Amino acid sequence: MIARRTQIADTIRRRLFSAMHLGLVKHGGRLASVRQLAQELEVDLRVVLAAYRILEAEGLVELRPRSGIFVAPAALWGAPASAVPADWMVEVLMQGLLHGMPALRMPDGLHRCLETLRLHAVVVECNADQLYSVPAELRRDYGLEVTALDICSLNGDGRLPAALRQADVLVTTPFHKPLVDRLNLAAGTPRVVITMCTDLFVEVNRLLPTTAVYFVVVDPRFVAKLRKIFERTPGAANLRPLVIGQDDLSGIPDEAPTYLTQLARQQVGDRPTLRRVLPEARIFSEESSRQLLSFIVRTNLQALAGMKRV
Amino acid sequence: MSLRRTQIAEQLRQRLLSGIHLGGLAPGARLPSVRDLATEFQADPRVVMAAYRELEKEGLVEVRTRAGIFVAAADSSESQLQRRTADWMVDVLMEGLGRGIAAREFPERLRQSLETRRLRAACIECNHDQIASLAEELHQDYGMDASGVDTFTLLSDPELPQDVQRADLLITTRFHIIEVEPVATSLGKPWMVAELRVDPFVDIAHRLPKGPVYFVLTDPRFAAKLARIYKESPGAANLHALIVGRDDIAQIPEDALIYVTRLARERLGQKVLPEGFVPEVRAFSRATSRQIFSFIVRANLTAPTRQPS
Repeated sequence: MIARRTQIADTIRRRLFSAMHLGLVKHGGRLASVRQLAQELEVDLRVVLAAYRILEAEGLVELRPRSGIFVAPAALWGAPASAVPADWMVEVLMQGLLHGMPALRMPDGLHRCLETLRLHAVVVECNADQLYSVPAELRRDYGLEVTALDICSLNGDGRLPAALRQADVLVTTPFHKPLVDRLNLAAGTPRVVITMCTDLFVEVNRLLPTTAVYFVVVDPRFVAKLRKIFERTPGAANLRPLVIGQDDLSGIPDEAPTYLTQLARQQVGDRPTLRRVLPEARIFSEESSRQLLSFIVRTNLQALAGMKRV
Repeated sequence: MSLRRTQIAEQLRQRLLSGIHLGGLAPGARLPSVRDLATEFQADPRVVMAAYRELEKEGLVEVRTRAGIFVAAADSSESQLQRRTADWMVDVLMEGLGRGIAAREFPERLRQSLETRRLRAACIECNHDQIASLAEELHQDYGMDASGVDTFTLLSDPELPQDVQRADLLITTRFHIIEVEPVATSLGKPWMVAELRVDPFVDIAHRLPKGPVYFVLTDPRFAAKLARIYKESPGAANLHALIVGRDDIAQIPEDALIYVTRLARERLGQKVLPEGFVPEVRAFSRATSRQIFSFIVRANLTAPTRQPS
């Protein structure tokens, strides 16, 4: 029962963070009722309520009797205690002890597992928008050094660019996996195929049958890719990709949901004409994050073990 | 034919190494069958087998007749340990991401919840051996500034010892709740009862009827306490407490079970101990560890002030 409650709390927390990132809910916004969630997740009402109480203790939601469940105000979210829930930190430290790592050595231990080596990633993609957003996330969240490589620069004589020869890890998306698989990299250079966090796609899929959804991008090649991604979605004709400098952005209706790629965001700035801009989000799926972290931690631990032996 | 074999071997090597780096493939894991790969590569099964044999020669895979093909076993226990550590760290970092904490920010967040405030603990016990054990464990595993206070001093001094007055947390064992509780209450300080792991005590109780058990320690009061604890146990006469500097350590028979307290170990210094002694290990129970960490983390992360809703 307790395990189940924590599981459900984890699920709700993940959804909540992602919905906040995507701008689907705001501070003070109403969340799914206990009854709705119990039905959807096929668990007892009491388990869902207990899960919500956990999130309440973390300062993420507010339970108002007889009124509903709401996202906690920004003041609570911003507080360090809710960013690092104490109970969870305690759990992490307990596990550390069981793994033979005393508390004070843990921050440094983790740091070494991430940054003993300056790991270099090469991102291979076909458009400027993704060549901007994927490296940005790799740098920001994982601390990797990144070179962005346009896939067009690979076609031709078959010789590898220097960046690729020296890469510790190669990152691409499923579209380019076949090509990347054929590259003759140094033996054992791992290739991580990044799948995207599905929340955005799910949301766009949900909107398309009834509403026009605008995508503001920089590279026309990304337009083609977007069309391909949503080609089977009912209402695919409602997808409106606009290229900065080529299409007229002032035509976007006030209330239309609009998605800007990170690069587009850089170029447009905060234009008051765009009303319903969906905010930036982490784009990597859970599985991709796990692959990346596994690679980073393993490589660093191996390096550390090697240093100890010498 | 051999060119094709080299190509396939290269592909398989690449996949294997990449899988191991990314943690998806563990030593000893089963690899795709020759038949499956032959279908995938549209190659003769014999060519695929030859490619696998090439990887076997390189020590990457193990071909077990009639059982299948496996990632070669890790050769040392060190790499096993490394693997477990890596798996655990990745889990922790993933949980962090789920809570909106970027991996590279994680160590800093952890540091904030441990080291924003320097916390002092006063360990209150009736003998130097246990005081030293509590204080050292608090210091080494939990990073607290830990000092020791003797119950005798606590009760006899008209003024409370400095260490108690300045402490953020008072910590004792169940034997001394009676002395510590009123002090903590009067000072308004948090205090806790450290529960010790029961397994060493159970081990000793089991062992006593079968043969001698020696304790090497420094404080006669701890010797007296041990005698009281095991007074009712069968074979209580087999319990011997030796005090460093007073008793002769060399008299311990070879087949005896020997416990050495942290303080005794320190006092003995380079002096050779009888072989096979049991050094003192972590003493706090899991419940106590959790309590200590809760105190530390909460003291470091200032609780948010709730707005009235």
